[in-house]
Amino acid sequence: MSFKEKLLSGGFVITAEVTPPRGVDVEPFIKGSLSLKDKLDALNVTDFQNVGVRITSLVGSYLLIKEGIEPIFQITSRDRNRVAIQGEVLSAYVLGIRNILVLTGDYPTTGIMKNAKPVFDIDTINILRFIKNLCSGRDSAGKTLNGTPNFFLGAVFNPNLEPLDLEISKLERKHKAGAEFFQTQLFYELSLIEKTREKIKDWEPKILAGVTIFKSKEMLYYMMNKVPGIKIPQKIIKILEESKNIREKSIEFCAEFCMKIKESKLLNGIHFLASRPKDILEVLNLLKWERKEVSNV
Amino acid sequence: MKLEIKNWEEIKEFLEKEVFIFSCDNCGTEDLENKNAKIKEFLEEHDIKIIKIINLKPEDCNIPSLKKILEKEFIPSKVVLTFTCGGLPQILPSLITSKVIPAVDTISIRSRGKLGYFTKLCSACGDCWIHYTGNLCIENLCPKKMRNGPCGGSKDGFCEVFSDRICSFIILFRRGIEIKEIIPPKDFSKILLR
Repeated sequence: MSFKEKLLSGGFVITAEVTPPRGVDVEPFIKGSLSLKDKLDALNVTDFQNVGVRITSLVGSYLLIKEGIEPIFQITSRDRNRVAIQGEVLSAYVLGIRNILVLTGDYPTTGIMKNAKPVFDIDTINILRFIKNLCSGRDSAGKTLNGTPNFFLGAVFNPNLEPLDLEISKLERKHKAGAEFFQTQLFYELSLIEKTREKIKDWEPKILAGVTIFKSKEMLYYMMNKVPGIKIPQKIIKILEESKNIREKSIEFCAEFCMKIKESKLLNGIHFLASRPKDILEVLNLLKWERKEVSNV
Repeated sequence: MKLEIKNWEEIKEFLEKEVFIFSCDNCGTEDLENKNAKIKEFLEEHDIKIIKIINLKPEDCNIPSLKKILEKEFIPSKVVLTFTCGGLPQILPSLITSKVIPAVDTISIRSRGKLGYFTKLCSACGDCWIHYTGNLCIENLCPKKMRNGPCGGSKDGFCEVFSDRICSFIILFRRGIEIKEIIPPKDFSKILLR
């Protein structure tokens, strides 16, 4: 069953981010991704994450397809204009990619290549609209396509944002523009999703909760201070800081939180952000969720 | 300075049967009589009556002079249409209660003499859309040039890039301004050959 079929039929899905290699040695990327094969429903392939030069999300996604892993191809508006985005999306379809997650992208000065010129030609809502347009056979200049693609489109939802109502309104507009699933930024307050669901009356968004495993204190401080849009509650920072082994504590904590997420029935799945495959596997081992159970909850 | 009258379709929903006009000589680069004749023709064509035209001179294009002019010459009106660069329609809402709609797109800002002060506020983006954003120029304020809501990177309401700046979309939200329709991407064709 594909990621789309499982999510739309009410299944509880698990996805994770994988980062294409910086350099041309693709073996560790493939090996890491293969270790998650059959344990997760799809892998998100990041698009020049943290404004760093890497193999593109398109090629990263293709490498996964060749290994029998279903990718979610991520595309941001930071590095490509409307011509490049539409061309990249058509190419993705030809390579067998069927899921796309559309993001705005971090500003260059917040990442590695601070001296790069940002593009931001079209925002996420217009990217979603343009891809829907391609799916109905035309590009944004009105030219007819020879063969049309079909995609399962997703976007990001950040429950940490205040005012939450503004983010909910954007979620609804993203949905109107074509997004059928949402993956969240890292968050810890399930009540925020409850509020979101209460606010949205006429449809039920498919939302995957963003979780992570802090492999070190450095990663915790980096996520707290450098990654835009993240808010980690003080009590969680304290628990992690005071633990003897932050990685082990974080794995344990992540598994507990995943249980809460699933039991809450507020979310449609889990999305591991910025986590190493071996750490994700440890969380899954603690959870002991049977694949069958995972598929049919 | 180069200004282009907007497409009627873009502004018609914001207008009333009668409008108050602000015009200028494009910082000394345009024949005012000729420009105002075109404005009259444009509005007559669409059956819109002009209440009055105020012509702002470059030396009066600043807040103290504008306040005096408004006191003497302004007639309270529901809608004010500006045929100036994007600076004036950003300032006017803080001085009058009318709905202020830019009727032109600013293609470039140049002058043979001194530029009016309000030109500093206009990014001359060629596709002015401040009538959707409570007359706040997101083009100037948002580093990612978002058009349909915040990018999701703000922290406690402050911009991801400029941490001392409140996210423009949060300002709009607090003012109760909601962008209901989907704003299409910017049309760059007008400024690519400027």
